[in-house]
Amino acid sequence: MTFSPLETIDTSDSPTVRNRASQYFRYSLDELARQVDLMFVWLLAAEWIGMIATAAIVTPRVWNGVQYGFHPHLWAALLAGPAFILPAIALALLWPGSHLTRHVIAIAQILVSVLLIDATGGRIETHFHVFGSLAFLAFYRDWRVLITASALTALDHYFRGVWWPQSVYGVTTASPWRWVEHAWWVVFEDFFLILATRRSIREMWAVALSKAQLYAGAYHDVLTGLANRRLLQESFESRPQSDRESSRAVIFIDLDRFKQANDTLGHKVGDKLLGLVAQRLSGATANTNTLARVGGDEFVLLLDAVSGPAEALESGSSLLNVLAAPFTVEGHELLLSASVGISLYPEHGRDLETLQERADQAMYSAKSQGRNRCVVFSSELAKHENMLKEISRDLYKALINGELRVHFQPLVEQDARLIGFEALLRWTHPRYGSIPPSDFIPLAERSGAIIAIGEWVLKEACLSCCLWQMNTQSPLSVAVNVSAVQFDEPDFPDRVKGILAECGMDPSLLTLELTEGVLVRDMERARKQLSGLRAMGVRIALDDFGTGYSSLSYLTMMPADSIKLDRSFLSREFAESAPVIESIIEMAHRLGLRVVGEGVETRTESDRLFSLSCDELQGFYFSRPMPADAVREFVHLSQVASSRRHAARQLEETLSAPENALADLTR
Amino acid sequence: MNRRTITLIILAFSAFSTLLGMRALVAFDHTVGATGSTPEQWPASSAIKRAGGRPELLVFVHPFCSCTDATMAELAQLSARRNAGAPAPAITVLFFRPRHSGWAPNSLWKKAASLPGAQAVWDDDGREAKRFGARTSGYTLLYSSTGALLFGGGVTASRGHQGDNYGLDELSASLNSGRPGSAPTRVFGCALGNQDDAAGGNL
Repeated sequence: MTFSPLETIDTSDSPTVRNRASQYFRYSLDELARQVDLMFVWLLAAEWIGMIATAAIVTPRVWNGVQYGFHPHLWAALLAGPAFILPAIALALLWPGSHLTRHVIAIAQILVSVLLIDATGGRIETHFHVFGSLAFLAFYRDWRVLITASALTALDHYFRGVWWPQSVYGVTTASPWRWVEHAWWVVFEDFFLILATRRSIREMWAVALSKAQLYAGAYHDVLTGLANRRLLQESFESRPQSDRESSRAVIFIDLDRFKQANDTLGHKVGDKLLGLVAQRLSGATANTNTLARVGGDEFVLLLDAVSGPAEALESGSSLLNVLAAPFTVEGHELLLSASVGISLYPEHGRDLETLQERADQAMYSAKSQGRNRCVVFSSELAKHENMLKEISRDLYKALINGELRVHFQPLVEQDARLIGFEALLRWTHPRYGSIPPSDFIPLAERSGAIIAIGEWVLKEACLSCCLWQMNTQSPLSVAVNVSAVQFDEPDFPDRVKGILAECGMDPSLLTLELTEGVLVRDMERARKQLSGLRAMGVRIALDDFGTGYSSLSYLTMMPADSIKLDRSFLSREFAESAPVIESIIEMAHRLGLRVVGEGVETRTESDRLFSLSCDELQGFYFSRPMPADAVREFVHLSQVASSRRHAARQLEETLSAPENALADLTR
Repeated sequence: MNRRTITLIILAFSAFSTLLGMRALVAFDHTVGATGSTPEQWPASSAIKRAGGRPELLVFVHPFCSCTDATMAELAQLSARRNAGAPAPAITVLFFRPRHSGWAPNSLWKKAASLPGAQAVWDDDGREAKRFGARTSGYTLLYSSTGALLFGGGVTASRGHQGDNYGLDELSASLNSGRPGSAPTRVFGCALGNQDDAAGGNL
């Protein structure tokens, strides 16, 4: 049986399910016909023996005027075998289930009846054999077979009726009612049998439909109707032996930031979006290939007969193109992209598991390269992935071995007045050297190590903050980034409280930075967590503001103290971004939120942001992140610089008012 | 030759042999047996003892003719078809026997003897059969009590086949009315003495 896994399955009553049901149904009918054929093999053989016995008992011999001989009925019974019983049996054995076989059997069965009636001297009781034959033939559930058998019976009666009417109609040959009566009994039985056949066929269809629905459920993803892992595996394995060595491609598709859309707009929208994505991907894929949904927002396309990586890459790119157009779900217009990883058979693996794993590695590489792209698996990529795996394994050890360090980047107000630091994590791996946080933080989040690491960073930051206060007598604050995994821990506020108590730190000097994605996962829960933290006096900053889906509603709903403008605003032309920045700042101020500008690298950027009333700035222009030891010196220099700036400003003010200066001099 | 061709050949052979066989069978069943010249009046030369005052029913039978079973079965219904007041016929079933053959009564004899008011007798060398023009087993004659021929022919629709037939209808009507039937009916059965007389005798 062939079935295209690309067709969308609705497990209820879709055309595809009905197609499959019809395949099951036909198969059941054929199987049934084969079984009935075999039944008739035995039945016809038994009837042959029975017919010979009957003829031998009823009219064994006949007197031909000179001698006794076998009666023609006995000859007929004996020769019926080679004439029509054995050919019917041969067909049943050679071509079981074929339509020809069942019609030949129907003819043979009725001829047996005819001969039996003849051999018994036309006894009316023997006519029951005809009705029995029709009943047996009804096992085929094929009304055409019944019609063949009835037609032969009618023909036999017609010809006998024409040439020897007495033998069929007795003395009432002239009465048309006798013919009607004869026909009626056969029609009556046929009518009954065809009705029973129809009912039985309906039941078989219902069973086939149920099986098809079960199949659809077992082999297809209910949400999208695409193939599931099982069907993908079977499609991979069911490849014809002749095609085994030709190249195939496994294309792994992961939607970018789908989770964010799902969390922001709700699961219902997310589910519909997945359905639309599945439709588009199906539409862009040939029916001979297998498209499966293997995870939340993960799809795998099994591509047959691929000439090489270039063709696979082309297919992957075409999938990206079909996803590029906006999706409209429940009034929301959504833009999606995907990261695509490709592996090839047999170069990258000979089994689906390996191929899928390597396509997955390539897909992660596509994600790390900036998403919305296709990457073909390679040995270099495997090395990189292995490195990441090693890093992932080493993360716990890094904490224990003291390979992790917290660096601090200053936060300044207008006039470059230092107000605090943001704590930033750094890792120097013994083998790979300095590893950027963008590489290892996702790994730590995936492995769960982020909870321990995050708590350690928080503690380090708080301790450092307390030390600065003791050493510099300045109330400098510290900002710490919080991961989504960390924030999702139900006892997170308690842990923060414990650390603050342990360090003896003023909670108002601690700012926890959370991204939009962290908050929108479960807004009600997030609000509860944030309220708990703010109740302690901890300040909350919304990080990377202005990226992602930027649902502004949560700004009013979430208890926060400040927002951090994403650095991407500064990388654009100022003329373009200035109105947006200004609007955000104005909106934040109206909501009572402070605004922090990130990624400031030049004086121009600093001046522009301050001119737009940005409250705080941070970036390489002021200082690169520095180790905790360097902070004290930086604070001291900052204080000196601040004093000098203050003195200079006073002098500037004095000089700018000559009459005052003159008065001062006179005094 | 492929399987399809072989199948077609088998089916063609099957259809041909079946048609041929069926044709031969119906020829055997429906070929009318020979009859001789039956006297319109009871022949005085007949050695059969007449009952007197009753119609005489004569049935000529070959003891080995299995087809005549059907004739016996039909004649068994005769009494049921006889009207009240109609005289019961005296039935004589004459079994053909070649001289010195040593044939003994068989199951057919017993059936004949069991018919109501019937007697079974041997007709050595078929002398009576020749006298009455009977050449086929199952040939039935009805003479009135006055010796006039009322019915002559067979009482089955085909050879060895029971069931409604004109012969029995005619016989019953003649018996009930005492008048001759409209026409002689055909007889189906084995030849009484000569192979050439047998219906489908070459079978």
